[in-house]
Amino acid sequence: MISEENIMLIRKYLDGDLSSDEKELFNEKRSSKDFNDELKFQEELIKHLSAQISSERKAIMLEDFRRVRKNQKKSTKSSKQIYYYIAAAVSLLIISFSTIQLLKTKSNEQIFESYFIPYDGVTIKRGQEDQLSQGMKAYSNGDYNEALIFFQDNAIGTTEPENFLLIGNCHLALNEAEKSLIWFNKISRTENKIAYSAALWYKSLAYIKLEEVEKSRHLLEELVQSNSIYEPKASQLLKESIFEN
Amino acid sequence: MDLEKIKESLQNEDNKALEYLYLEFGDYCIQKLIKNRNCMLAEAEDLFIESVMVIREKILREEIEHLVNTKAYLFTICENKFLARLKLQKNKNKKISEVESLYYSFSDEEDEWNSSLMEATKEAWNQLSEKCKDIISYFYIDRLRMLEIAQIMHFANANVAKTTKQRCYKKFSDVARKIYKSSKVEI
Repeated sequence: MISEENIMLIRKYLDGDLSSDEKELFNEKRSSKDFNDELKFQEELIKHLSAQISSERKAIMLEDFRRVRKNQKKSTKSSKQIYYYIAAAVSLLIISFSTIQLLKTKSNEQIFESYFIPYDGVTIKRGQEDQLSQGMKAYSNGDYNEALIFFQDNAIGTTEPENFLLIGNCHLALNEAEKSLIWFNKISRTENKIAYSAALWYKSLAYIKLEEVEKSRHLLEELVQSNSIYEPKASQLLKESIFEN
Repeated sequence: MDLEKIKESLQNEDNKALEYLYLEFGDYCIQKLIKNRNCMLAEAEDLFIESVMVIREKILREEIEHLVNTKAYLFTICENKFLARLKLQKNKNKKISEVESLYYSFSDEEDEWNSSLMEATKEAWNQLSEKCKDIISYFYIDRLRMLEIAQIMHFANANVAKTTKQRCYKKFSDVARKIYKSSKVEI
């Protein structure tokens, strides 16, 4: 039976904790079989203990490792999901934007239709009666193609702004906004202020039809400042949704 | 993450260094073990964790001065672990248990695995308090100095840590011996 002192000496030896006196004593004890058996047992016990601790530690680390990797994969997966969500959102935005644009186009058309009343402030001058009255007849009947023929004949060699307004209106009514602008642009501010205001008004409508809202806005703002008969209409039109932002 | 930061994190046990090693090199080592050594996933994970444990111990024991290519270093340990395990299985002519494999990493070649002693060790270990388990682990596995253990475990000084460790180990040793002897009598 080995003593507690000898067991303590062996533990101190295994821990590398012997003093020089204890080292001498330890070497003396090595001749004893019981002492050597206990030394062997304690050595084996520490090795088995180390394996046990390592095994437990390894199990904890392995669990941690798998959790960390799982989280990483989840985060990669959620990053991918975020990417897909963003892609879906962008697609949705594009579709919404296109739809809005489409709705806006309709809306521009609707606005044009609700504000467009063909110009009718015509004063017939002497010598123009036949062509102009025939043109006006067709114009009043909504036959703008025929009206155009008379108005254009009548306009040859003249700079009469009312002719230009009528021709421009025919084109506008025929869905030819760009052509209408050519005629409206012939009317200058200095020659006839009333015709010029009318031209501004119809040009603003032509630009709405052409979906050039900003150009339309500038003309309408000019009209609002002009105190012309078109000022109330221009103010009202500027409040429409197409002019928001 | 440099060596100093890894060491600091390991000493503080804040898991940052381990997570860094797991996330940076885990996939690489595991995939390479599967591809090069035909390991199964669980075995590759096992080898990787054992290799991280080796690095952890070496860093804590200040056996590593520089850590230049951690990826290559870790994988070399993985490979060595794989080869050692293979050799051991061939020598033993059987598939060995995990704890047995770990036992041989602490032993010389002529040492013999003692399953009865292992059972006694396990039971005695499980009877220890968490505080005793910690101090014994720090001393025998991490091989920390008593002063370091005192700092980590908030003991007043190294002597208090030393006395606590001796008391804990004595308790463990006494219980293990008792269980082991009784198992021998039963046989």
